[in-house]
Amino acid sequence: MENKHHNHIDSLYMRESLLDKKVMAIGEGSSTFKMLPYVHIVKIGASSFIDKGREATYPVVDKMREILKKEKLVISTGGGARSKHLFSVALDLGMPTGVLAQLAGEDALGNAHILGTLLSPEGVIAIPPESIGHLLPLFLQAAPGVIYAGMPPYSIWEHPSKKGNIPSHRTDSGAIILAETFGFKTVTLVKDVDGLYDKDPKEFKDAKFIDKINVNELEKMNLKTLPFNRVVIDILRNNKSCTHFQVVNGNNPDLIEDSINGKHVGSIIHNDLYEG
Amino acid sequence: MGMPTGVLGLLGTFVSIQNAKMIHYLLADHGIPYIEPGGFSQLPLYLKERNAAIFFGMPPYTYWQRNPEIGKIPPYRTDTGCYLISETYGTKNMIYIKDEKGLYTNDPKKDKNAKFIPKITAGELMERDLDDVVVERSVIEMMTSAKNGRQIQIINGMEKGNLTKALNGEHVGTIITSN
Repeated sequence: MENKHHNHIDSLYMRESLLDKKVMAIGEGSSTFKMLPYVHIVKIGASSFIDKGREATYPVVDKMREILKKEKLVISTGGGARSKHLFSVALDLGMPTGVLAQLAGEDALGNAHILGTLLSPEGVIAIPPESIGHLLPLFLQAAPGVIYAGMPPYSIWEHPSKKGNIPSHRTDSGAIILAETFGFKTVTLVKDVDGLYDKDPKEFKDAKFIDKINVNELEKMNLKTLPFNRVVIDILRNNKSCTHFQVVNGNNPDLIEDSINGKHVGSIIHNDLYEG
Repeated sequence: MGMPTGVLGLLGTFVSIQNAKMIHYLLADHGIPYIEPGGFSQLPLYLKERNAAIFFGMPPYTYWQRNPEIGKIPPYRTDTGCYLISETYGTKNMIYIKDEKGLYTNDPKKDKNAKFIPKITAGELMERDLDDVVVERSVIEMMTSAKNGRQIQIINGMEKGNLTKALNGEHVGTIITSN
């Protein structure tokens, strides 16, 4: 009898170079499975809130408590002022970009644990990046949310920066890549400004608010300051599941809930696949 | 099966781990350690003690692997992971041992008219926008902003003596420079 289960496996990529453009394009346009399509990721800017202490942070945390009663959340944060100080010390000592990225992970983890302490009554704790990946679906079945120390685990594998030595993949990027991989429903970056402006609104009174923009247009504008990591532009352009994110002002914590509910209350940055 | 790029990145990491472990067993009697990403803090010690260490080439981005411009195959793979270690640690050489002499104008396994390129800058190579290249495109792109890793060499491991020559700084394959 013919053995139908012989050892030969017909595989698309066998004997092909993964560096051949024709081979690389295979799979383009095919659907991607969404692991956690009911989960929202909310990134709370550390410079905007945690660094300013209780007065700025508690109202945002109280709002998170309220939202956690209804929605499943991944809450992420950054290193804020401590990372900025670290960068200046480490650069003075001649540390390479990869080392800066490695060390900054600890600042974000510290802030994640601060949020984790405040949200402990809700069963929401900080999970270090090494275990959050494959365990995320389990955590979110067990608890209303988890806190992710926002630095992606690039560490000493951080890309060389196009300008200067500051790591390009920081906490905003971490949130957006995670949203793409897990197929989250919404991505909200919570800052202390209303959203995106054509120049820094804290310095220029005539700065114009941008309520919605395509990422390609945003790149063309070549703005000097952005309220998020610049590399987010390159990441979002190639995203398939996570086609947009919203920057909102957390000084009005209600806007965080509005953003999760799909309301346009800040600046929406989107790619070509966005339907909205 | 519809796996996202981040999951493909994770699966690719396992393959890279298997290969690294096999090399580790082959070199076991030389006392060469195998290290995981968390073990890199011991790298200087191992290099001082044993002159070598083995690691799996994939950068540990796992679920944080970015999408490529086209398709779904993780763009940052083992060539990139090794390159970034050479960039961060400022290694003397970054040598890629392949089964071709180096870079050609097209895949020499498929195109008999492919011409060998002995030396080129990363910028020129990006401008040429070749259909197939011998090293991951992300390495070439990163080289344009590299602080330390400003030169790589791709050599043919099928020819005996090439690695020794390349380690001594000889030009035996294709050299790609930052500028």
